[in-house]
Amino acid sequence: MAEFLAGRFGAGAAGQAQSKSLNDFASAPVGPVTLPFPDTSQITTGTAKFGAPRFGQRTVSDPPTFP
Amino acid sequence: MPAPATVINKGGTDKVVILSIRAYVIYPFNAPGWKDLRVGFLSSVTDDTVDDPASPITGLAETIAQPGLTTSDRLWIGLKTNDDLFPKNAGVTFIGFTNCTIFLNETGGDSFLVSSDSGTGTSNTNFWRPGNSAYPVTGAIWDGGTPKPATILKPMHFAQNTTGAGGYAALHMLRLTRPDSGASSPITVTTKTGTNTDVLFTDTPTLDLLQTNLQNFPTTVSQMGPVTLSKVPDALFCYWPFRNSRFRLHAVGFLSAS
Repeated sequence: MAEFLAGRFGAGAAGQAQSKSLNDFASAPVGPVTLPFPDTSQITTGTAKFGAPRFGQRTVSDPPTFP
Repeated sequence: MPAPATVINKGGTDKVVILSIRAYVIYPFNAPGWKDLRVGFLSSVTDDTVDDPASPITGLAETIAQPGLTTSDRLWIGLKTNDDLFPKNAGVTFIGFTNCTIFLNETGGDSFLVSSDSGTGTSNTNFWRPGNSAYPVTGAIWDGGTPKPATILKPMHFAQNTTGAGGYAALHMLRLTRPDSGASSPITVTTKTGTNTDVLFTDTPTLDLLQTNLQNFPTTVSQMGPVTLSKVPDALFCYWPFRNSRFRLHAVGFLSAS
């Protein structure tokens, strides 16, 4: 359900449908991340929604070489 | 290969995702029909080995020097298309904080992290500032390999001396607006401006704090665009290119209005 927050979303947004999704990782297990990373969104309102995060890494030896 | 990220409990209720060296996170989101989209990151940096060192957090200075830098050697924190490619690849759009200047490309200027006073003092010991040796750019919009017209965003900082900085976590935010939710609708991007683009520093990086600041977005801003993009970004993206330091994400979120 959308949340209507007239006046709380900045100028010109009064009456607009607001969605929000905020995550502080509070339910994430301590330790090295393994996938699937848990859906830890702590506040979600309206249609806004995080999907599952993905992680990757560029290796230290990625070209080019570094001094 | 070690895990690309680790979660620690920094104390209290602050769980922190620490990206491994040169690791990234792609966090897709769904915000259908947005006309006003606000994104915030509460983040900090630590050294290459200790997850939660005492303040001051020293020894992070680094220069990734030319020649031959690639996009992997540039900072990227912002919005990106939800794919596994880095910004500047074909079909990838990016809006946000970066030291990949649109004027010099990824091959222009060294990529560095330096000690800084954030333009507000003389000690140069309170903050860490990522940057580019050739041009003081901290923001850009890239559509594939094509730079989009953008003004220069003020520098971003991360806490080095958490007392002097005002807290260990920095808040950085982006606001995207467009007149309608069509895919080709021009997007205007704003950030807090002044001497820097840091909204605040805090020792309590809570969701309430993040939400309040997203709702009360600064009114004095730097602006990029409006620009029309081939694809509208639909993921958050954080990548820290340095080897002497790691990026820590305390909380992240977005608000949208349609």
